[in-house]
Amino acid sequence: MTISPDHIVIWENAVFRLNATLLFTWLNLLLLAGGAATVTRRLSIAGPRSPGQNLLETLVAGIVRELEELGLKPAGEFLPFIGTLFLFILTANLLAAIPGYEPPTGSLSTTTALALCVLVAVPWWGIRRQGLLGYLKLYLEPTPIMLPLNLFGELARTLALAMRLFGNIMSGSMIGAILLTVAPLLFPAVMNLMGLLIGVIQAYIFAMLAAVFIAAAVQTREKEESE
Amino acid sequence: MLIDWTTVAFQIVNFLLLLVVLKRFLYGPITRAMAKREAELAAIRAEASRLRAEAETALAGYLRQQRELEEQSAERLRRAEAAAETRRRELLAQARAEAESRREQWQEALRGQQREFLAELQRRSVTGVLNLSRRALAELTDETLENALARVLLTRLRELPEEDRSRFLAAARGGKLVARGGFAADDGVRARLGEALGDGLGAPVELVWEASPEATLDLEIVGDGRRLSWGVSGYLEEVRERVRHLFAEQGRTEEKLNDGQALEDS
Repeated sequence: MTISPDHIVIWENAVFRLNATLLFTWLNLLLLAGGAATVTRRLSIAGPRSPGQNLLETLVAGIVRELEELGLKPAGEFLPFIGTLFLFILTANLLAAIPGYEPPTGSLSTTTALALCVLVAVPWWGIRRQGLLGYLKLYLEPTPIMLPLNLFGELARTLALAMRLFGNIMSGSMIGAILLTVAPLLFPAVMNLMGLLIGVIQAYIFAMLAAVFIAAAVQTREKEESE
Repeated sequence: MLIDWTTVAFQIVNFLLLLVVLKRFLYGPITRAMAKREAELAAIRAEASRLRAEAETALAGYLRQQRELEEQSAERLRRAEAAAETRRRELLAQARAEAESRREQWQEALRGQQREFLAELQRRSVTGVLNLSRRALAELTDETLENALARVLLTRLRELPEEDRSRFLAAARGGKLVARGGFAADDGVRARLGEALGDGLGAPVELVWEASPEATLDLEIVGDGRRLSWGVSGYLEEVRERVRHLFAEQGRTEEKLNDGQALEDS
């Protein structure tokens, strides 16, 4: 039994090794991109909409609503980043129910990569909105003494972001695999359903935490101005 | 080691690649479609609001016009009623005036007929009385009516006071004694009347004869402001007066009946 799909090697040569994480990630990519392109090729404006268009519009409208509630306006600026995080993680977690599929989010490498993206995105939007000095000043708040703690907090929450997702998904897969060996079929099926629920919740948590971090970096100046 | 940094790098690239692809094929088209639909819905809502406002304006206009028409209709009706009432009063007054005029014409015609009747009555009664008197007198006394009149007149002359007789005598001597009668007296009658007057006055008399158609059966002698006459005109006048009185009474009875009828009509 392997803890991470990184260790499942599908193909390798001298310079490159294709592991399960990358394979299923690409599979995810193809699925999402192909599905989105298929649905959006014929979009209906006034007439009746296809089920796929309805699903995508519901997802996009829901994400936009959540972003606006967090104060991230215009939501269209943040939608691709937060929405892609959510959809990628959600797809990976939901497909985990299929036997033989190894969710990429069960790999700490994937969650670290996503957390690093968030780690970069937060200061990128903070600097875009508030300028370099304005953003760096945030680390000196409320007093300059807090600078080390603020820096540590920044790294810690990124690490927590990666570990939380990895832990939840990896544990779900592990428990399912263990139970399959010791218990009748019904119990792992129930656990699998539970895994689906946890997968959806984790995707939502990851995306929303990223949005909250970005919102905190973007809105500090606005709060000060409003005060 | 749970973290494979090569995989991490690949996953970062994969994520960014997915982000770009989804932005191109998912978020862009979907948000554009939603925005377009929102815009169309907003346009439809705006159009609906505009049409509703127009409809409300038109409705208010129609209601106002309807109210004005009703007011105008009531005003016209009131004017027409007033005009009809005025016209009715005019026609009534005109009809009354016409009726009054006709009644007056009728009464005038009636009075004319009465006058004609009385004149005819007088003429016929005079003629009748005259003929009757002539015949009766001729059969009873072999005397003409004119002679009888002259005789009566002479009797009256003799009965006159002395003063009046002397004035008649003075007039006769001056040739200013005038005899006036309604009948055509021939020369014999005139001569006899002159002789009789001469005898009565005690002196010859030159009598001037004047025919007076109105006098009919009257004979009068006029001289020096004195007049001596006798005839049946007075009797005839009395008869005519009685007939006139009878007509007048008949007329008053008819007027009362007409007034009663007019009250019932009104």
